[in-house]
Amino acid sequence: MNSLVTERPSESTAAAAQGWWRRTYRGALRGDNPLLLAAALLITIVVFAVLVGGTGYLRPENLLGIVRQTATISVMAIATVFVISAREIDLSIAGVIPISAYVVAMLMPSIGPLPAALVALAAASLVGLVNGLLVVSLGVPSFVVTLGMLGLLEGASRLFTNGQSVLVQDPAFIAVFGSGSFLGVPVLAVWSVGLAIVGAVVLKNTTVGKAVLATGGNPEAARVSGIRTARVRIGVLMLSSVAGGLAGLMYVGQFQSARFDLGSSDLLTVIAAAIIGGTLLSGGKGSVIGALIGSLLLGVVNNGLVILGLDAPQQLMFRGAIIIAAVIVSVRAARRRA
Amino acid sequence: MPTQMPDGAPVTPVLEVVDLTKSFGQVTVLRDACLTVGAGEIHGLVGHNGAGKSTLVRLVQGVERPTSGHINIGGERVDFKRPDDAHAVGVRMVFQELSLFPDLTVADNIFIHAEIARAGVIRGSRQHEEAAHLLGRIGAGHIDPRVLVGDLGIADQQMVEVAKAIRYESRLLILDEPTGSLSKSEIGDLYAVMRRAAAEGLGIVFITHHLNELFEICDSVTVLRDGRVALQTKTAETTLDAIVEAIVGDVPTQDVKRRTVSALNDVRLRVTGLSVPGKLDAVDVAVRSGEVVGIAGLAGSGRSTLLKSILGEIRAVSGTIEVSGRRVTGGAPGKTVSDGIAYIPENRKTQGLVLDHSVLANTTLSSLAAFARWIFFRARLAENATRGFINRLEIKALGPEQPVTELSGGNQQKVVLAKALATQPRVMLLDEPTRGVDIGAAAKITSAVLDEVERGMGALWVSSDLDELVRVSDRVLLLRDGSLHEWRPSSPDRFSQRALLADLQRPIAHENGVSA
Repeated sequence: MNSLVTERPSESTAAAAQGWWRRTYRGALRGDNPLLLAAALLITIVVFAVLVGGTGYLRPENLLGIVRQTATISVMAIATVFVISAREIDLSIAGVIPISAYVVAMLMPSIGPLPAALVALAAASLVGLVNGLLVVSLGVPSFVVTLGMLGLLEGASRLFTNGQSVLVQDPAFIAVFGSGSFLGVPVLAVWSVGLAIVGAVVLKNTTVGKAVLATGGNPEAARVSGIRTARVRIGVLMLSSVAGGLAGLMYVGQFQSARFDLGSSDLLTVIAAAIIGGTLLSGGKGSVIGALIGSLLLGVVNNGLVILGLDAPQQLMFRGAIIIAAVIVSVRAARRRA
Repeated sequence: MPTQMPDGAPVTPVLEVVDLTKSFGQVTVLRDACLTVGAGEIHGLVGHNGAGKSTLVRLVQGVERPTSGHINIGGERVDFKRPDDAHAVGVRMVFQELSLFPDLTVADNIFIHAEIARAGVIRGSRQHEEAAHLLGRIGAGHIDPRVLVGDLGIADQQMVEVAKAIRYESRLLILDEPTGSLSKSEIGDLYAVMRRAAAEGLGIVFITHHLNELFEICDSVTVLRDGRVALQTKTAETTLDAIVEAIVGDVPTQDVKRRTVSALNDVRLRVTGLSVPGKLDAVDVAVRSGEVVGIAGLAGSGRSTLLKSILGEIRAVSGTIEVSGRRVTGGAPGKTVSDGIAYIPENRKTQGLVLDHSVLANTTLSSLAAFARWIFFRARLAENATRGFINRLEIKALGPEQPVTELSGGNQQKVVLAKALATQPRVMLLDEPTRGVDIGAAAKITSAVLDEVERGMGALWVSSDLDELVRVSDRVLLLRDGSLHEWRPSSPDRFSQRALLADLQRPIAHENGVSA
């Protein structure tokens, strides 16, 4: 049997078991296995519970609070899995947040919550379409296009609103995108977990997901095999912007106002969550459930640091360090395969 | 002639290869090779891929060390331990893939690692003068030393390589298939440069697949076959046929099973007037159901471009493409593949496979819709189909889920074929489908394609393995100077590799235009 595998020497049973451990360990390192990632999440929670002591860290309210705070990150991380799996990157995802927030907040009084939300998401998808068309038709790397777009969006949302916030008071909107519950579960958790399930199914079990992974795994081979890689690339960038738009709605639901600085520090966290979750930066491989757990893990860490009394600058540094660690693991995994 | 100076006194040859043998374990790739190149001599080196040319060159270059035998440079015995040693005594190689830095200027490239400097500061104007002088010496004075190498054409880049080579105290220049990507006039320029360099006393070894070039530029020629010298002579004293004979050897003409392709069979692929600037000039070709049309052509003749432009991966400026009478002109591969064209690319790793993905993912890649209900992938169906291909093509894999990167080259190529077959194509475009594949896998791939042809598929088959081409094809077209010419062997029994190799090298005048 072993002769069929060119890279592995023959293994005794004991060595095979050892090999299994090594693979599992490596898998855990690069987040291949959602179960192991979930275990890491639990361990982190326990560690913080011990560190924090008897202040009720483990109370459901606190844990659900973490899920709520993380929901916007989770939603964007899910879309980012598709983007990175297709060998693209979207740095403008968090820049869409204030755009969609302002659009929904300003239109809601005149056209009502549902139409306003739909217009906001449509505006968000337009951003992704522009990104995608620039990437595909001009051949500019998405890194550059979306970096420029991030600047444009951030500037625009300040310029056109003079930095003023816009209040939202529609109770239905706030319930659906903010403080409401569905069957006793906070709606924000319903959004993130629900979309993660949909995303996981789409990536794993549909032709769309297969096309995304093939495009990211080897764009040239995918193209000459008949995959419409241009559509795939435009599609993932639009998906990403829509997710940013949805995150904007969820921020407005929580804070009951649109502000220009909503989600302004989310980009790092979103990409870190996707990579911790086992999505390869080099494309071709991604895990949606992993990204959900990755974002929760980052949320737990952040929450714990806050309770331990660390300030925003320290949290930011901690997050940066986690990203570097995650990328190192991801790059090493990619190199090992090459 | 060139081994003697004008006054008639004999001089020591630049290169003497004496009884050189190289073995890798049990396999001997070069056996008792002898070769002498005099100062000012241009010596052609030809032979099939795998005949031992590259091994011989690698030994002379010091990349590898001989198992037995030795090399003399300028009459002195040398024992190269690494390429630097060969460099030190004046052996230069101009690689097929150029080893220049595209973002540096011509002068910077010529003087790379040996800059003209004072106290560590490069004296740019001195370098420019010297570079201009060197280029002038080889007749390439039109190249501006200040220009970036990346802005030059391939031909000029090669001249920069030559200038760089003679800049050092060079004695022997090895040119590895330098003409492959050059136009006619560029080849003429390169010849002039080579003659100038030879006139300066350099010995030149010239590797080529274009046999007629031997007669245009070389003083003498060595033919290698199966690691041995099969022919060594002055070009003035030999003929093209003798060289072809030496390359091919004494292989018996195999019985070829001819299919009978009726003119009544429907035309699966019709290409009319297909043009790609600089590559294809109004190419016409038609492939019928149950027919294999072979395309023969030298490297750089545009064979791959032809297939890619039919697929829609390269945009043609004019021409029409029909699959079973339906126009697919101008469609990207996403369209042409669903219209019934399947493509086996030249390079399975970069174009054929998503290496990290499984056998199943690769097999189903071109026909995802066939394995889905709406957008939902039917895993069981795909798994069964993949197992079917694993059995039918004898793919040695642990199962449908094994990543293809873990398979051997031959088995990877079978997966590429499985992907193409899974689309149930009306016509298949094959670009070197058995290159770099072991004999067993090559035979399996060939027979699997021919089985499909028996069932009605059409095939357009590009190969530089002329023996293979003659065996599989119902008719062969020669691609030359951007257009196709029907190959008509002089008599039916001359439908052979030997005849094809000879005809491929002859001038066009012997053939008629294509009537496909």
